Amino acid sequence: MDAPTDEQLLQEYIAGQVASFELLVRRHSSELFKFVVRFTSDSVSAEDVVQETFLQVHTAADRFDPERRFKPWLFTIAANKARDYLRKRKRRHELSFEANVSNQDDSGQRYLDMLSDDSPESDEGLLIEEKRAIIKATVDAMPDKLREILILAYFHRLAYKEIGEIIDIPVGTVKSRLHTAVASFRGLYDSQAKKRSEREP
Amino acid sequence: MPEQRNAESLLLDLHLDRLSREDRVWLEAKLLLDADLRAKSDKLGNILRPLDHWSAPQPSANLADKILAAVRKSGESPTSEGNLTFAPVESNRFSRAMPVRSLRELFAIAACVALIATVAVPAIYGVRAQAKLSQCSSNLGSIFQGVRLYQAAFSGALPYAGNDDGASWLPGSDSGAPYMSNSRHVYLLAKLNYGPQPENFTCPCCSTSVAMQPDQLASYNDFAQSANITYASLNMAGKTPNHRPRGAIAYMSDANPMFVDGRFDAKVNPMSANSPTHGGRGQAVLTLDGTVRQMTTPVYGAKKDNLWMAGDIRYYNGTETTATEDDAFLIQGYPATDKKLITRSRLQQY
Repeated sequence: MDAPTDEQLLQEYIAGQVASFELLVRRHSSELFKFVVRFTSDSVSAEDVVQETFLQVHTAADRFDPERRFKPWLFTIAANKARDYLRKRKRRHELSFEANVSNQDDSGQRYLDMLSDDSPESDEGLLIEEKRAIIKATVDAMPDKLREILILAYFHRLAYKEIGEIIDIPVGTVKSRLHTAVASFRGLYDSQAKKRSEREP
Repeated sequence: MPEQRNAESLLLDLHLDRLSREDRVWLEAKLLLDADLRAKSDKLGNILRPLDHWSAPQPSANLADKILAAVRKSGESPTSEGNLTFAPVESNRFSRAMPVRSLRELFAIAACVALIATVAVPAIYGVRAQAKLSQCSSNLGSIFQGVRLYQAAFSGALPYAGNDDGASWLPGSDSGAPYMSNSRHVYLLAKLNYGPQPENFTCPCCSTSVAMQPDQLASYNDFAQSANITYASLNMAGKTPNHRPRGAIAYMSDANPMFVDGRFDAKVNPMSANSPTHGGRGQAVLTLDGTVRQMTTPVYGAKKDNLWMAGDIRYYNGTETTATEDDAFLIQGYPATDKKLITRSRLQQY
């Protein structure tokens, strides 16, 4: 009782079965929306991005390489469109540690240093709502490249190879960039938590 | 210390559940022996834990329909990449300082506030209740889309996860029969990716409901707990379950009031009782022609079939099944993994 795979559904759609495309949309639209909305922090535009993504799947279906997997291809299209949207929004954050993204050796060292740091957790005693607010501020402040890889790896559990296809980087770079993303998240989260606790009376 | 360095590099993969079984066993053994490595692993766990609070909003209930409508409208014309138009981003609104007002104006404002409190607030509550009812109907609509696609893939058969002959669908019964949850069947729609999302199986009017986590779906064969499924669905128990019912019979609805916490309640009159999910005022009912109705009685259709009963049986021990091919008998599932029910039930055959 196995359900048809995504790749089979796309082939069926190319062969003229409209219901197969509908199943692909219903299968993936919700998860894709969650990826885009976390990446762009804008639920209205996220729906537009998801819609445009499936429109492109529809028009480019016959160019899909059946030897490859459908889901990374779908996420590649969505990630490209989300990046276009962010570029248009002109709200890219040029933070000091952005340079670490291109310097992979340094970023690896930073990640390992971070694990050796035995300072106490900065969010101890905070309520869940406060933590949520800090996370929102943290991820909004992260560079797009790092936020994107953190979402793909942590929430969508895509394989490193698939993440590499989506972002168009080698697998080795995926791992080092993910380490940088975790280190960046930790650094920003701590500084946001400290700022908040300083504001408290 | 290359091995130590290697173990540290693998810690992130361990926390993201990406290690092969062999690597995981090796790393867990290292963690047992190496307190420093264990401290680093704990540190990493603490760093990643806040991400669990980064929840994403749900897409609008009709997102898939909007996408499909846009695709139909677009025809075969190619989409040029990079020329997309997006809805304008709403700018933040900042509050302005209140101007100084006269005493007369303040009285007028107070009168308005009182009017709002007596008229508008109940109306807002009414709007909220209506929105929840709409979401409940929309959930059943989403489930129907999945049923339709499932039927297309399985020659018209309804979702069916199999059954042991003579099994009971009621965990708290005295029948002595082994228990098999009825919710396993509709669970296939979510597990096999036919469209419905876990949140579609929980009515927003049920305050105790909790949507199942999407990343749990693959590792379960039923909802993880009763709170994950608030709807009743067509009873698929018995030797010959009703795979292909005749006519547009009822397939799902809010919970059957005759069964509470996995037990039959003989005091409930099935001829007049409505679902407890909506406070006994009525229930959303999905029929197999794709219609979702808000009904204020459990009796429906030209044949006056009763949603809550198998034929005209009045007493249940969990072994009853639908009487005919056009008989709707809707019961909620009580997932067998629900620890609360296991301890409450007298049956031990889980």
